[in-house]
Amino acid sequence: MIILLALLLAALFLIAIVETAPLVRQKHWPELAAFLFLWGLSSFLAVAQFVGVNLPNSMRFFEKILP
Amino acid sequence: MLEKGKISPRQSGELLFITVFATSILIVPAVTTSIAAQDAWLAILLSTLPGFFLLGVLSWLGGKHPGQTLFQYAETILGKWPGKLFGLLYVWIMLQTAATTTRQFSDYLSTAFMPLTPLSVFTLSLIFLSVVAVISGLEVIARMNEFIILLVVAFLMLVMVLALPNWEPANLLPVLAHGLVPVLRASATPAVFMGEVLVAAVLLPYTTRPQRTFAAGAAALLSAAFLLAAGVVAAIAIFGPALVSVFRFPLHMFVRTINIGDILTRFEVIVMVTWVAGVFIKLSVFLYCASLGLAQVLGLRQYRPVVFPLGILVAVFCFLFFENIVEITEGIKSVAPKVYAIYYLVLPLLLVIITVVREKIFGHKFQAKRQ
Repeated sequence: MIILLALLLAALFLIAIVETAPLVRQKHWPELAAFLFLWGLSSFLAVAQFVGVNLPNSMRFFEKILP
Repeated sequence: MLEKGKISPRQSGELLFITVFATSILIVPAVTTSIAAQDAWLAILLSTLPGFFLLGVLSWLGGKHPGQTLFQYAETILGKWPGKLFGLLYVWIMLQTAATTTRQFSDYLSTAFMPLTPLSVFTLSLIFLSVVAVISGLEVIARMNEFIILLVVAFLMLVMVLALPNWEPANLLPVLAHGLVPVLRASATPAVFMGEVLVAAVLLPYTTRPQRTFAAGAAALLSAAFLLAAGVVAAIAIFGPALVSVFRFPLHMFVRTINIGDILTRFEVIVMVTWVAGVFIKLSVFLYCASLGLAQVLGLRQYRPVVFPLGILVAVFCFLFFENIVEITEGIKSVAPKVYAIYYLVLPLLLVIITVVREKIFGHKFQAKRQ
């Protein structure tokens, strides 16, 4: 479990390094901000799901509101 | 322009075909047969009607706003912030569709071929491949699809012809034994898949002759519906409607019945190969549309930085949304037609109504602004 979590974190940080380096070099700040926000959100959700946090499911929401 | 590549109307039609066809061929036969029995093929042909309607609406909107995608003309029609919110709704539904597609793919491989392999192996490898394809651009996806579509269509026709000796045409009779109502009810599920021609609204500005996109899309819809109906007819003709409706993957089962002289057997591997290739293209198309749409909503100069994070989100959603394959099938049967009717029919129609009202009543002229 811990090894898999470490692998997941390593993959997420590898993606961050690979994506941010060219954006910083080209000074594409809005793109960098968008990437960092989305990367942070998706990484948080991925790690939360991996460790078993009960995340809200939009499908249940649709099932409730639609007749 | 965020996307510099251009595709031909034929390539755009082929992308639409594979988007509609790829997952429907495994899921739709069982669901439609469970409601319409031997008339399931009729339900599939009927389900093309909402698809044609959506395609017509999108072509009309695309003609009014040349050079703009759905995300861009939503802002032109509704105003900046409501338009951005509208665009985000479509980014969400595209991610949701991508997640559902990925989960169907993983569950199929896990259930039918590799039950001991964790789902995450299939999911992550498919998403990684699709992310790479999306980063490479629309032209690359369209060119890969030119090869893959040949495999999908040729292999499917081959297995249908090889299964001909096992057909029992009496299984298809009587036609409309229970009237038209079950057929209409059953057509809701395939209509969800036909509505996936929505991606035409994103592909349209990157087509060399956008005015021909409707014809290409219509051809894609018709061919997908006919092939799907042929698959259902074949499955019902071999097993009968009662068995088909309880199978999880009827096409897979009917391909397993092919046996040529005890030498040529196990053709289901062909189905798996073509399906994996088709799902890869479908996922790439939806991930591409979501990435491009999000970049346009956020006003970015390139869409590539958002592709990897969206890929991670698709992976998270595909485990979060569904517990197992039964839940996916039930969701597609009951909730999906209502949810997708809002995205595929109500919201595009709303754009048309607001455009007409602004033009006819308020005298607003939408500029043919190229972006």
